[in-house]
Amino acid sequence: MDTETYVLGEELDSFNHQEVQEGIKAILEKGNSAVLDMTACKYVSSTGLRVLLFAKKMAATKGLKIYLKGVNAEVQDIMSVTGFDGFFDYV
Amino acid sequence: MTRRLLHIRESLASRITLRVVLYVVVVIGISAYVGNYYVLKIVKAIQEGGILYAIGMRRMAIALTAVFLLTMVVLTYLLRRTIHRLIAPLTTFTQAADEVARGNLQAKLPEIHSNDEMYYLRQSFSTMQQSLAQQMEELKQVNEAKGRMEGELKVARDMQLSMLPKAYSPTADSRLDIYGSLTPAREVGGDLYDFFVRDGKLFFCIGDVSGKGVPAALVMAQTMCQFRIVASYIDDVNMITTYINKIMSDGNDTMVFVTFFVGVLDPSTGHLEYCNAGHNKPLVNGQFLDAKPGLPLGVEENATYEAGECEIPVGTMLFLYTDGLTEAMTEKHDMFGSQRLIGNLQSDLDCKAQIERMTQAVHDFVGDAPQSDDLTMLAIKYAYLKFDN
Repeated sequence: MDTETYVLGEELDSFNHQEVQEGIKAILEKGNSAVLDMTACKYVSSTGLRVLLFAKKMAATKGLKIYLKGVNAEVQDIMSVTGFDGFFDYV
Repeated sequence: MTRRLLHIRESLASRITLRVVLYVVVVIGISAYVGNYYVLKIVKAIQEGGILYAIGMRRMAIALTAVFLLTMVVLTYLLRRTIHRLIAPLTTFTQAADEVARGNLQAKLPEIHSNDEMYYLRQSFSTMQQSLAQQMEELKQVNEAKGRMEGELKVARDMQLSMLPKAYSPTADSRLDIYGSLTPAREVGGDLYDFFVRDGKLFFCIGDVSGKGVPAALVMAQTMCQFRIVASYIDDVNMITTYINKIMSDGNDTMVFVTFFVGVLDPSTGHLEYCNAGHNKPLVNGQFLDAKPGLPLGVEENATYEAGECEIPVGTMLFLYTDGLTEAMTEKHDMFGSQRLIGNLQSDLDCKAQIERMTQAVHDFVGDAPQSDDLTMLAIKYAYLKFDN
């Protein structure tokens, strides 16, 4: 099983969630696990969190994994407030 | 338009007529030259051959010139008539264009039997009429659908807002002062709050569905409904959250989730029990409540939650909100933030006044920037506690 990296931009919100979701979906449909490089990402809205959640669920149904990489303090804070601490796997 | 085109037509005709007149002048010139040639010939003939021969030559010259002139006049007339006939349909086209501009797309076009530019103009004009009619029809249908949608959304908005509980006003008989405010970013939204009193206790909740608009509103209504049902029978906040989460997680293929905070306050003691499913921590007397967030509702069917409890002193305000408040943005994307939130809390205000103050502060902060997220606040106080005995 291979992993493929998807690099996110500065924000993950309602403006780009569909594009990101399609990007991750394309990786998973190839049978690869996905590493989401969030080094540049400073803001994740609730719609953005839904994309990550959707990705994790979709990966699980295919026996694949989603890993988050380079999550910075601002995004980690959003994750903590919304109870997603420890829900995702990190690399 | 008609007048302008007619003017062009007139000027076209005039220009052509002028040109023909010029030709005639040239022809007269040539005739004069030819005439002169014959005069010279006549003079020469008189000198050489006698007067009779000369007279014959002169007559012939006059006859030739006359025929020439007559031909030119007839040609000019025919040319003018032909031009008039050729451009006559333009008048009808102009009238048709005016009709179309007034909205009559079925305006009659001139019949063209020739196979020239006029014929092609008629074809183009006719295609334009058909295409315009089709587009107008499509636009009409789109507008009708849009109007219907807008109407339905307006009803949906009224329905959504009417789902929310009415405020408890602080009166002499009331133990509670509660006020909530919900402002969707669009016609309908995904924020929610609810409260009701059962067995002498206040059950309340606040929540935020991920996303906005109609999809979020559907989940908002579902969550409100589940809270009402579950909390009508169960007192334990952890159990309330766990049950609602199970229901919301079932078949949640689109992975819409709800951050949710539920509390049960006993106004006779000030004891508050709460459970937090990924929602922003409420404030008690300007301090964030230590409400450890579990996963939002709908994420994981078997998620477990942790209940918390604390004592709320009489007169202390419990202030709940959604992230539409702290993340309210200016046009430069600056956020309202927790510090401004805390800075605008004022302990001596009643709940309604407090929320109005906060709403004003947010409006002042964001200025003309459009509201980016649903904004909800719920304030609870039991300063007006009055024991029956």
